[in-house]
Amino acid sequence: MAEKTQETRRFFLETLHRFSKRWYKFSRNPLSVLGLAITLTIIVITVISPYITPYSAHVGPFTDFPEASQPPSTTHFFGTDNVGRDVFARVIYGYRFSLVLAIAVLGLSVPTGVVFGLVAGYYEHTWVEILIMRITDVFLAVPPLVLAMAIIALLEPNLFNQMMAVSLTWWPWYCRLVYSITRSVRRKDFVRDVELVGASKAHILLREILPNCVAPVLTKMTLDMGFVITLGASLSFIGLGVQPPKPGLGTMVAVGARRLPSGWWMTIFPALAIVIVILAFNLVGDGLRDMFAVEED
Amino acid sequence: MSKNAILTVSGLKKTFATPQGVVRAVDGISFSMGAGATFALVGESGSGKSTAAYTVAGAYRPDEGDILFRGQSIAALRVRPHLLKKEIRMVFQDPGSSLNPRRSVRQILDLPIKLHDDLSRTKRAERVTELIRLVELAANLASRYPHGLSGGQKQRVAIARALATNPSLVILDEPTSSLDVSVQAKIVKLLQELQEKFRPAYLFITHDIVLMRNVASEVGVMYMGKLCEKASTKDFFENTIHPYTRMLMSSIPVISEVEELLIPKQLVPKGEIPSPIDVPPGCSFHSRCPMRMDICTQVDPVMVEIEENHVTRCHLYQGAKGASSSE
Amino acid sequence: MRAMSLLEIRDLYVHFKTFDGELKVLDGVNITIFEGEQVGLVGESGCGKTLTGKTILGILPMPPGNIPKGEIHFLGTQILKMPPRERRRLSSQGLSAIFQDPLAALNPVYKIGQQLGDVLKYSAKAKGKNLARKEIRAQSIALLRATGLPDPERILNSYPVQLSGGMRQRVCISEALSTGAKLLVADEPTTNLDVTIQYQILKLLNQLPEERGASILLISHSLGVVRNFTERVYIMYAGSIVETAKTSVVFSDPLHPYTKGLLSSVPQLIPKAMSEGIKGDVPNYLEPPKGCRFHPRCEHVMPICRMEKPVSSSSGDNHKVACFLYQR
Repeated sequence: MAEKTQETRRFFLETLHRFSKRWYKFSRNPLSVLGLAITLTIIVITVISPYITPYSAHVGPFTDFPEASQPPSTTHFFGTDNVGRDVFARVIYGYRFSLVLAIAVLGLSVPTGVVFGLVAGYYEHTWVEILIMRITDVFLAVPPLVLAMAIIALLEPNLFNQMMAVSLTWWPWYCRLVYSITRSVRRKDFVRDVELVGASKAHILLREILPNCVAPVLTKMTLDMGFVITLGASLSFIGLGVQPPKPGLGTMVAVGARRLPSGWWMTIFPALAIVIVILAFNLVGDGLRDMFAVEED
Repeated sequence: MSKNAILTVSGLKKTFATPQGVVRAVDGISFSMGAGATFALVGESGSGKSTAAYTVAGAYRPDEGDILFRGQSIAALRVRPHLLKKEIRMVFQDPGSSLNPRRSVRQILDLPIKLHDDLSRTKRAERVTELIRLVELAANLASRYPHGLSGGQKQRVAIARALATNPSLVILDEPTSSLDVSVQAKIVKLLQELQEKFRPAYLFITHDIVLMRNVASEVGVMYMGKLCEKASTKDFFENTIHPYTRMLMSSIPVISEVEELLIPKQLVPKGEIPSPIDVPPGCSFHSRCPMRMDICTQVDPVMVEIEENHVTRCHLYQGAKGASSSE
Repeated sequence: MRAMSLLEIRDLYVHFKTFDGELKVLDGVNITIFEGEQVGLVGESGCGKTLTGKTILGILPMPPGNIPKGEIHFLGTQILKMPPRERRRLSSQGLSAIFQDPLAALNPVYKIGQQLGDVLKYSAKAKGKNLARKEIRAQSIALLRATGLPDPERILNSYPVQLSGGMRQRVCISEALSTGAKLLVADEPTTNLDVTIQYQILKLLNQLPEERGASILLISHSLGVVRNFTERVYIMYAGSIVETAKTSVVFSDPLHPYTKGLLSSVPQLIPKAMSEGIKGDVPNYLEPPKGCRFHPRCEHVMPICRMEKPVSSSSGDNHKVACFLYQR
């Protein structure tokens, strides 16, 4: 019994050591730490948005024409838009849409892409690989924005369909990434050994090969958060995403763009919000790449 | 071929089709091993020794020839029966890539046991600890990952993994090539001790012919997919016959004067190993052989017996059958 | 005793900063090489021999690496104190190298002719000369022929992947010689090659001192290689030189316990039981053993070994050992 607790303690210490080592590598680059700080701040803001601003009602159908088009002030940090809604509150709530979109899209496309990639990479030189990879090629041949536009145009423009459309454009990238990793890992001796000893294919794909894909996939996911948000904002910008009066960041940029340069706060702040969140995720992604880079020595 | 041979390979061939042409990696080799014995398959790069090992292990299906395991033919099997998979196991050359960097030692050793023994979880954990101790590693290494182990430790784990199912044949593909010489000595000693305890037969693939002097019971030398010489270890080293084998021996940098006397000096190594796609006709060694005759460029020699259990494939000896012998 | 040494490493310490602490690898290395000599540096992996080579050549990444103490003199000049630009010019002044993997040392997308030509062109420029294309080609062909390559024209026109390992290594040797090498640092040059090819390459390297007056520092983990292809040898363990003498002397009369253990671990052609190796493991450079770094593994360890580091002392004709067993 004592041996068991000693082992658990040692396991705990070793895991702690591994994580602090990883943190060390991550924190070598101060920008990555900055990115992480910003990302975490944004996430926290998104969660506690009702508590940060008194203007939560401004997110929905709300008008206050006397207060419309006010420049930034102490009562309205980012000013008000053309119908009197507080821009700051709308930006914060806008982050919710962006993050929900990003999480949903990645939550759908990553598992799909990974599974297809594993299977295609393992069953190389068979019809399975050919089928999967050619379908992937078709999706990859069309620019993501165009593809998403086409899909949404067939359906109704709203957040849900936006999520579906973007997911469909995104899974092929993960498929290709995992496909190439699987192809190289599959040749390694440890996979050969496990095949020879009689492990099931499911075990080989999920317990032997997949763990070797985690690092690049995780890094890509982090960098992709930024790209997905951009794509979502672009779709909203052209009217194919979050519809007004909902505060999608891209929508706000579009609506506010008509009021430049006089009502600059209506566009600039949502646009800045997009830039900051993308930048933050990119920096974190860079840091992750460094962290996973050389595990040894 | 002996009666209680655990493994008999006859006329084994394996070719690969590459964009540059057909590669006859293994081009007809035959040998046999008794239970608990160690057969050394020696060769340089391109000799086909690793391909032969992988084919016997079951990673490749042979194109021609037969493999008999305990008298049963296994060459033609498309899928090997589960029970066979525990009997023939392999230790690979590069400890860096033969252990999954994302799995702990415990997980690596647990898998073969889980697949072949019907043991409860606790009993499996006990067996894992037992295996770790068997290869002379500290039990607390179980939770480590491969990158936290030295090369020697990794190979010990690989050996433990191979022996986890108590196999009757272990194929070792250059298991010590990437290790320092002092570590190599320990690993080889460990392998010998384990063989005494559990009596697996070892098919030892290596390029280091000197290592085999005191490890193997029988030695076979391969060149470009074929065996050129095969004999019991003692006969092999005391009476090296084939020109290629002699060239190999003469290029070994030995570390003592005593050994200098044992290596043939007349054959200076020259030339390069030809590309496996462009195999020259006749004897595949003729382009480098200092004793080349006309017939060597046209006809491929066959194996002949020089003395008991000592065969070679060379036109210089085609006439000599039987010969010197038992005293 | 020749007057001036070609290369002299004095009391060299090299450390590495890592997450877990500072790796104190080289612990006072002393090596001297004279003109036209073939010297071996032998040790197992992790002993610091490659690190020594890299420090000589100046290719050690310096932020994690640092040199707290020590000097290296090449042709009389302290090269560790040189600014990087001058250090790089040393290659045209006779300091060159060949490494373990010739495929990694050659650029895969350029033909051999281009690479060799570039080396010739730039080393000539460094000396203030301008070589014409014809001259470059002629010199390239001559160099390739000198390293035993048949059909140099075809080689010049080939890409590295089209050549065999042995041929690539010969090309690398040609490149190393092209700058008028005085000292060729060869770091495991034949480890990746088959033994019959290894023999030919090492024989080639052996001819260089006579043919070109170049000295060779052969770094290897193979005792057999060092015994047959060097005249003097340094045995290295855990960052310091434990023994040095003429090669024949070290092999016939090894003194240091590590040297003895190492020699006994090498498999031999005579029938005998396999050796047990050397007990214990290589030390952790984060916290190396106090005193003699080999003491935890030594059969003859004495109390003083655990406390003080042994200094190299003479034991016979130019035979130096760093061991308390041999100190008065």
